[in-house]
Amino acid sequence: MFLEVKNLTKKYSSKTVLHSLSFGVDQNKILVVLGPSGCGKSTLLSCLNGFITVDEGAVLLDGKDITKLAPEERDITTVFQSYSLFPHMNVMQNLMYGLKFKKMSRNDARKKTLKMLHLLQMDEFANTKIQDLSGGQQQRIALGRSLIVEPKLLLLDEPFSNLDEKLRLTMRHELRQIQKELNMTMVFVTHDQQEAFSIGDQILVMDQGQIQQIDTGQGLYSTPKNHFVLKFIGDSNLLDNGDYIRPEDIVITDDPNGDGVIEQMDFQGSTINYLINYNKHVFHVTCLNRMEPLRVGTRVDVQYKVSKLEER
Amino acid sequence: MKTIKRLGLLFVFLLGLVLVTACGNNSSKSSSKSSDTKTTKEFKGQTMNVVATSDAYQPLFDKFSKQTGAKVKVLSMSSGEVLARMKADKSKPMADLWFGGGLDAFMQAKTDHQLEKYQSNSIDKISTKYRDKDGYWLSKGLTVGGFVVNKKVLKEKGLPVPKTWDDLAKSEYKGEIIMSDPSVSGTMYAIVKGIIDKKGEKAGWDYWNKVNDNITFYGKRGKDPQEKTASGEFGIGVIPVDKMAFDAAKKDDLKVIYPSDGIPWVPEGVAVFKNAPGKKVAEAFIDFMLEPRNMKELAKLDGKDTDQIIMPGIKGLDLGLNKKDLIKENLSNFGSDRTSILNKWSDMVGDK
Amino acid sequence: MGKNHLGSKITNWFVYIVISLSILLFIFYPYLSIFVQALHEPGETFNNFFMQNIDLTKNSLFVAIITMVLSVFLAVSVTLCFVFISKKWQSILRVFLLITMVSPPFVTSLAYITLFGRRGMITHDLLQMTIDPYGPQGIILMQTLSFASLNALVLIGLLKQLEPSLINSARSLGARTDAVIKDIILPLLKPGLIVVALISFIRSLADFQTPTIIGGSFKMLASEGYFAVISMGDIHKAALINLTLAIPALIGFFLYIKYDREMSVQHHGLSSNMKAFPLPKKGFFFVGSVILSVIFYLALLLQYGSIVMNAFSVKVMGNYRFSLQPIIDSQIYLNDTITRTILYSLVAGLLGSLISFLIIYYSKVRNDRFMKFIEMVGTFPYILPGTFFGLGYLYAFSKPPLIMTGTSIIVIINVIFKQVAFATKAAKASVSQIEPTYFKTVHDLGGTVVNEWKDVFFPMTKQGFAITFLNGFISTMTTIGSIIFLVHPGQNMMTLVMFDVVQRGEYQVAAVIACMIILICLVMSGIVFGLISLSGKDWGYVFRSKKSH
Repeated sequence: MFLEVKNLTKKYSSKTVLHSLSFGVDQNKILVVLGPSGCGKSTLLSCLNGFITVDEGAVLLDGKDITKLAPEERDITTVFQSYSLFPHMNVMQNLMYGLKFKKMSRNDARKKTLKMLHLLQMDEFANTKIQDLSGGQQQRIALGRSLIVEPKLLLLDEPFSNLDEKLRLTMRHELRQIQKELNMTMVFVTHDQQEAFSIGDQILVMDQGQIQQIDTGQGLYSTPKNHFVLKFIGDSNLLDNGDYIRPEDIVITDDPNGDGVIEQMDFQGSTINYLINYNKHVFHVTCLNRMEPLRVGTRVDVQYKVSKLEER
Repeated sequence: MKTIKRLGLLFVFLLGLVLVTACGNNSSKSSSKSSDTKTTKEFKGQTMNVVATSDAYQPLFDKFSKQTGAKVKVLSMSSGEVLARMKADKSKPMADLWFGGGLDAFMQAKTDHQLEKYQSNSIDKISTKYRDKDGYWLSKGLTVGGFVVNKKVLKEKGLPVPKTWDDLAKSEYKGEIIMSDPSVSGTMYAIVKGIIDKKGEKAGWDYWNKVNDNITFYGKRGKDPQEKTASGEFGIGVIPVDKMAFDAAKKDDLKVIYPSDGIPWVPEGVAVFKNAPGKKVAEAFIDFMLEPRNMKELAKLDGKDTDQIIMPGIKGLDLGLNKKDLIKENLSNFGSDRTSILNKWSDMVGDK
Repeated sequence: MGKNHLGSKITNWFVYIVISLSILLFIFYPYLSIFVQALHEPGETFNNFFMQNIDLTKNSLFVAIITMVLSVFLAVSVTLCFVFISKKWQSILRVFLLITMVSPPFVTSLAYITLFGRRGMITHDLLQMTIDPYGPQGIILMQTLSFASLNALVLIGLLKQLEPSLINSARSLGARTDAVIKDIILPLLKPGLIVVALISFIRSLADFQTPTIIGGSFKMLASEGYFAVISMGDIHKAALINLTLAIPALIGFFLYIKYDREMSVQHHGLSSNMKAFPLPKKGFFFVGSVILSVIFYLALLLQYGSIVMNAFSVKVMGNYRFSLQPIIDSQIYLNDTITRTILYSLVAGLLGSLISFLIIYYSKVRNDRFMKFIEMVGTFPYILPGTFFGLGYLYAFSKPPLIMTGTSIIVIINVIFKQVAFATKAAKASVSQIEPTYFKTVHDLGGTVVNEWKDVFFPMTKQGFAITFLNGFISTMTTIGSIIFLVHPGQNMMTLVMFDVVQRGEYQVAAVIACMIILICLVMSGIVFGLISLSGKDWGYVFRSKKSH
């Protein structure tokens, strides 16, 4: 494992916020830490980049124990949610800032920065003031500033949460591309599961300071390990016996003799969500938008596939 | 509508606060106890405003309040400031009574028609030398000049303790003497003027030229020489000699000296301001002050043993001053020569 | 409903007119009068005076510039020290700095003379030297010490507003403590540095007390202006001197406005709940700032220790002995002065803050251009020497149409309007925290201007209002220059009594009064901060909602 976290524990006064976490990340992979707000994911990040001290456990990067090192001594950089670009420096100066601390000639640093600008597709902005950039451009520079020092590990703390929907999609795409190009190992914190699915090689689901499950996106969705993961990832209809049915696993067809009745219809564009009453239970159903939407009150025939929760 | 009412209430409340603050003093301590049978005049509910050189006279004013029912409010202010304020603000008298301060300021104010004439029935008790012949001011005592010596400092430098004004001109004291700027301190002006009167114009200025060579800088406050001698910054300080000086000397282990070659002096004035609203009270106070027992009390508060000179027969303090040592001064040009003397002085000292 | 609106409209116009007129009348008019006096009254012309006394100007500028540099330097050291220490220590030191805002120059000077004078304990007794402390060096040192506290408090306030993730970003990119300070903290504090530098510059120019105590033969404009009045009764000369002072002060002021604006626009970024401090205790800045801070705090301790010692002791044959005599002695000087001073300060704090917040309401929320002008006029008392403001009042209100000299009202009005300058700044900062949409919402829901004040403006700024009030209270408790020429018998204030007893050399009494002023200010701060923290819980959301954008 390139990054290894062992029994990491963090307490604030008497309250434990991280409960003996252990996990690892392979080189050139992206681990997404996913969880609701307040689950401890930001604290975990701060333990990795060194801004808070760890009470117990160890953090190993590339075989080296970095648990006790100060942030500036770790080969880790962080892209913060608020961009945190230095307002008194221009784009070029911001990008170059980290190179000051690498033994590198000014000329080389400049060349490297121009290359980074090119990679970020922002060549013409070298001397622009930070305040004159758009949100997406600021985000790119913040990313570039952290990448340029070629850290062993890049941390990203909800970096796209301040961008609008469309831009967010583009940025996810770009991040993956850059990561491939530079062979970067990353830990990416988010509360957005779509983002987690599209970016993460592995996803670590966290709640109340504990790891709930580490798996690929598909793994999490198809084989949730516990109730929390099941409820947190995607939608599901829980059955009384603890089994569940995913909304897309229910197929409904217009049938005047069917056992189900449409109670609500919610048009989403590519999909249509229904609420149906079936056997005195209410079920969520998701259908692709391939036929005329069924009206409320229509009787339908219901076919479904039950999944079992593999609780440990 | 409710809001407007509330805002209005707030406004009224604040206005009230202002008014209470503004008039608070009138009502706060009414001295209604003074239903004294002895009182000759009744000023219950009236106020006398006083500008005085010191807050130390409060007990005398309290006694007056008790006897007459008048409330006394005192503000301490230098005589120069009083003159300046009167010049800037001609709309109102500065106060009712002007109590203490160098006589030059009183003479100036008389010339500027800022004083009210008042001849007390007991004015004859004060020798004519110490009151205005037209009755615009009188003096309540004399301030006399001398010096204070820090024995330790002089010993360290191997210098003898100076005994006379002439000693101060000796070059061995160079850098060890401090005095205040005569434009700031009325007493210093009196000393400068007194010695010029004594030695004559030319010899007087020659003397001051030599003293000036010994002085590094002039204090900007009347108290500078006293303090800086006490702290050992200088060996000799030129000061007004009064009980405070002797007390301070005791505190700081210093020695107060009456120069044996003559003591300069300046009368401390008392006057009523022109058009003072509390004119009657102020006049009553002058009568009150001139009663021998009050004069004695004043002498004690003043910490001076000079009141007996003003009013023969009064026993005040005894600080060892000999009346014969007082320099013969010419009071007639004390006020009128001030500007010219100070100008000449400032040309002499330059930037010190 | 219609009636309601009419009433509200009338109130609106009434308030608008009253505020505009009062600022013009009580700030603009007095300055105008004194300018006219200096330039048009018979006597020496300004040109003539200026050319002949060019040395005074040079001296004042010399001292002001060096004091400015040194006091900012010291304040920066003290501020930087805060990035290394824990929250607990930070709050202790902040209270200490707050206390030293009440800084009577005589204390500093007295302690200084005792230690470094010609017969000072350190210079003479310990090092066997005889150094002359009187002159520009003494003034600069005293002013530097006493200005550094306020400077440091302003800078520390700014430091606390720095976005933590900026510092964390720099560290994550490999910046060590020194680099973080040099590359991030200092550049971001720059507008603040310039603002405190200009404040120090202007304060030094206007300070007439320190030179009279420690200046020796060194003459400066402010003290000469004061002497012109008290020794020669020469108001014309005083006006000329103040006019001379006003020139560099005004230049400083326009720079100040420029950078002050920059200081407020800088914080537009997003903020997070991260903590940035303390930084690792390493490097040049750590060692340097800690050493300088320790020296600074020791000097302050020495000063205020000597105040307390003076207040509780008498000197017999050169030795200090514990005694309550100074406290007893101070009674005849104080009388009803304490109550009056507190009352005046309360009124000045309340009305000053109210006026200032209303000005800011019009100038900032309503974007009223005339009110912006009024706001600028309101800053004058802050830049021009206090004595100048006082002389202006003496001049303007001793002749028709408005004769007010000799009344208590004029003193109260003076202290109210003197603090509008600072209060509008604080008000602005406070108002900038409110989302403009709140005001629109009020109107949208059928509310009036009065509702805006009642339901949004004042409730949402009440914390800022409380702080502004406290500022006004403290500054009135400690003000001297602007009222020294205005008080008449029965209107005295504690600082004036203190100034007077210092002139008289009664240091023990002065120390007692200084202790009382400090105590009153501390108690008032305690009350205000107590009230804020009591109601603090309800207000958290306002600021959070701002942050989460």
